Amino acid sequence: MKELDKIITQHIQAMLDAPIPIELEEKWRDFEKRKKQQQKPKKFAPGKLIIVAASVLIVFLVTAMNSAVVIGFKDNLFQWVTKTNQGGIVISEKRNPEYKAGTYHNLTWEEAKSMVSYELKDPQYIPEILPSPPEISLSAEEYPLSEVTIKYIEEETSLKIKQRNMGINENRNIYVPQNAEHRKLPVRNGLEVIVLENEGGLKFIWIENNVRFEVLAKEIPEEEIIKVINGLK
Amino acid sequence: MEAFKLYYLKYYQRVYATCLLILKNYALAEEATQEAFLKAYTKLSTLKDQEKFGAWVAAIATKLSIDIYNQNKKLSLFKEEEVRQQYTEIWETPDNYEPCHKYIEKETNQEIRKAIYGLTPVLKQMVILKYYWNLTDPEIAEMLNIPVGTVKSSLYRARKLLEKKLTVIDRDYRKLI
Repeated sequence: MKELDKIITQHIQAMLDAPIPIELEEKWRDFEKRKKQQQKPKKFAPGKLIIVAASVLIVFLVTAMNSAVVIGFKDNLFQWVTKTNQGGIVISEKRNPEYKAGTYHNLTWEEAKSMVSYELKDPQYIPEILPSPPEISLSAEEYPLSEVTIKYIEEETSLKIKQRNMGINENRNIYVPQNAEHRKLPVRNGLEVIVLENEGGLKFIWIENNVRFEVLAKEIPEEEIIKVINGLK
Repeated sequence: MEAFKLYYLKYYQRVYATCLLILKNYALAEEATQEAFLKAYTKLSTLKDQEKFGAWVAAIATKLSIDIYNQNKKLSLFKEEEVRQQYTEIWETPDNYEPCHKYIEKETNQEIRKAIYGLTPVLKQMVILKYYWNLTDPEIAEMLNIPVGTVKSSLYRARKLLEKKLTVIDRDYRKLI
């Protein structure tokens, strides 16, 4: 029985200690919010609700105007608030597609693009060994969160490119567990990616324009993966 | 609050991984984890041994996870395949192994993890608390507020199931050598 206990301990530890990318500070903020909500007496006050909503909108717009491009969500409307060089403000709108939460497989590039409210990046460079076209799938979670996976597999060689929008919160950190083998790698125009290494492959993670990217590669040299990352447009 | 934050940051990942293994769903696992920390925060004064904070929150989280699992078991689990891969995919194998043994080792390990992943939520709860959080049977019983006998019998069942699975795996792979 002791041998069995040893095997269970060894595997359960490996399973639960495996790296899961988590933005800890964001979780803590969510925890604090929940704690406050728990402490508040539940009273319905429509007047207060309107004031809070208006304040949130004002704060959002003020924040939006200070940055180059900011995204916001209102019902099914996706808005870009942009400040022009002349100081003018342009609000462009796009109505979001309505679809149920779930996983959608075998999509075409155009279908995937039409189903997300953010700008999907198309890989311009793919190593020759990998087949084309790729398998494209989309996982839709609670609106408007969604993740698109572009997958190329050729026997042992595989490449997965994941793109996931992160709502309106910005400046999120990428959580890397203490014991995970990782390093930072500058790729292009000041963009730095986190590389998690395993004997079986490499995982590259970065956040760009509020979209979280993950490139998972097996049996592909690192230089080739960097070309793939630099070719995402 | 600052001290609690330190605990939160230290244990969030492991408690979350615990919930995810039971619930097989990212959103539900996050819900269970946050609720567990909220409960822990309000009941912090009842914790006898500060050293056991992580295991204590994990015990609360596993209880909540099982409740959530029971409420949602009729729903098809979203992204379950991804979660399954997260827990059963093996990337690392020792360098000094022959390719054939390396392959068998990897496949065997994968099968063991699949067996653990496939346990029922209650059995997984016991296995996690016992083997990952290093709690004794009486400690598990106290934290879950159940009799020690129930803990012992659940762990016995879990071990038996895994032992049976391991025997089959071992037999199958021995055939290959």
